Amino acid sequence: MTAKALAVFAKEALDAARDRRSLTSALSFALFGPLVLALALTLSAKGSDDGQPLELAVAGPENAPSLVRFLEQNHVEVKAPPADVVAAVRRGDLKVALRIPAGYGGDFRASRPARVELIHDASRLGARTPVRRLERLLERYEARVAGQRLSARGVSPQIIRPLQVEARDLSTTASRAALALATLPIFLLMATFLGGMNVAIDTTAGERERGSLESLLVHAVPRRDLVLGKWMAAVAFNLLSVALTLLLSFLVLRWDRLQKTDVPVSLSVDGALRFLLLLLPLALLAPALQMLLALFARSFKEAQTQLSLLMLLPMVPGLLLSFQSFEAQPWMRIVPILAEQILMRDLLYGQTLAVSTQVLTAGATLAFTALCLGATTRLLHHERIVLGR
Amino acid sequence: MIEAQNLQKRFGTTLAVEDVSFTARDGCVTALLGPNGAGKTTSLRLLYGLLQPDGGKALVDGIVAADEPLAARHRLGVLPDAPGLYGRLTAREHLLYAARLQGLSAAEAEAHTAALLARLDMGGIADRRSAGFSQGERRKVALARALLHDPQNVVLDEPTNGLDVPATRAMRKTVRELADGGKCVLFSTHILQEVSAVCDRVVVLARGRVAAEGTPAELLARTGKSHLEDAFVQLIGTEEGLGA
Repeated sequence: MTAKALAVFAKEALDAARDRRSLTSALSFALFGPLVLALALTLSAKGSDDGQPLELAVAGPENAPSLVRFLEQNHVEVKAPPADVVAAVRRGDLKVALRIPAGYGGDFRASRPARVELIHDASRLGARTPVRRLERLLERYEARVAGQRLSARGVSPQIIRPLQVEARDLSTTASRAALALATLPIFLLMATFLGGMNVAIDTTAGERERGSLESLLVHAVPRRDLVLGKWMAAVAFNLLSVALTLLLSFLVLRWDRLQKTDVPVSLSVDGALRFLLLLLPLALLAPALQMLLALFARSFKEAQTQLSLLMLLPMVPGLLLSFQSFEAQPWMRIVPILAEQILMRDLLYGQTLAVSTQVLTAGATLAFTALCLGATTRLLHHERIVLGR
Repeated sequence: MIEAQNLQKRFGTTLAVEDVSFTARDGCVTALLGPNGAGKTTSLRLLYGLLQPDGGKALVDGIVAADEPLAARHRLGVLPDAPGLYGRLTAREHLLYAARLQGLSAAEAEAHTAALLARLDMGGIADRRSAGFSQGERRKVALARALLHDPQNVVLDEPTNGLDVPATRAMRKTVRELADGGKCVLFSTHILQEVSAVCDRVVVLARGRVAAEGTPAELLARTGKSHLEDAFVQLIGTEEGLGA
């Protein structure tokens, strides 16, 4: 590292720090990820009813005292209904309501099917869970009453139960929160590509667009130092963005735990550091790759358009990896971006990563970074790049 | 001292510089005069090593620019065609950056920057961001940047282009002072007044070749004309592309 490269770094960092475009793109994305995480966690907590009583408006509870008692024994909080139950459900004031007609008692005592109305709006996503819960409760009540009636007639209730289905939903608030947490590596990965992108473009295509490349190259400074300095500035913004994403995610999780003590998920410092270690080589590669490509562009806008396409690159392996049957082949360990995503997936599924694999992947990514920087340096010698505007 | 020896440069099939040889001596202001498209900018770019010649060579104080570009550029101060400033940096920051790029230490950079800001009367714009600068102010910053490391040779590409009268006069004064201080100053221009105002020697370029070289008086004598303008028109064979 030479003093000249450091001077380039200092200038580009200062320049970028004063550039609202570079700052907002580095910082706003860092806000975006944790924000989505907070939203996902809130939703996953809302979607659960573990141990919480189900609030249910029941119209005509006096018509079926034993059913209402059964519901109350099973964590249902029976409320008085509003004047127009149907309208209340349609407006969304109530997620679900139960109406028991006056004829219920007579039918029930005569062992005829007694009508109850379950009123809900299936198009409301939030209503699905309480409706299903209520349906299950009604089925259980039905089975119980049917059993009692058969027993009274000397028939074993067992014969109408050829199956005993036990569905065990093991998902808990915690596991759903873990699913939300799984989005974090994707945001971190995107942060490594977006954080320094504006700086990478501004120091290459931007320099061409301003026509300042020639006046820069007339100084007695090796092209290598120019490339290194510019790259370091982009990397610094990148790391800033990644670190901020991580920090805010920590805060979101902490806040989340304070809000609802039953969400036991936390991002362990150890786990976070593992991800960071995995992503570090990528945070070095992304600006190098972006600078190389942006140098071909004649303007900031042109480069931005091209690099938006590059942003799709980290998404492709993600899609591939979403197929459960996908098996990592040995050659994939040295394909930058893909290799990191495989490692992240393994880490998320709780596998311990072999040190040799990590070293191999990091080494391949760093080698690719060096290749990009070398190509960029060579490109700066090309007359068409330096002068062509 | 700057020497061009049979420089040749082609872009694709166009021969931008066919055969250019001249010498710019220390203590002298040498003008590279020619109409637009004569190959002035390309010749200068060959001198400061931004372009590689297809034939011939450029020497800066005896150093071949193509072989040792860094050593050559170290002995050169260059004001290119476009000032190329960074809008978010102040004049002072531009100079400090250039000083560090030329390899000056932090302390030297501070001292040289302060000295040049005073010398070129840039106190008023020193700590303003360059985004709002006028043409003249921009060129002043670019000139100061070229002179920061106190180079023996100064190359200026159309330094007064687009400047108003006071700014042009200030630029000419600086050019004259540099040569009087023993520096080698080479600048390109298509403006005749400039030549008579500050130049010791003139190299006339036309269609990528040197049409004539000498002092303004020598050129007048050679062509038998009494006005420089007439002399140049005869030397380059056309009036096209010359500015008054």
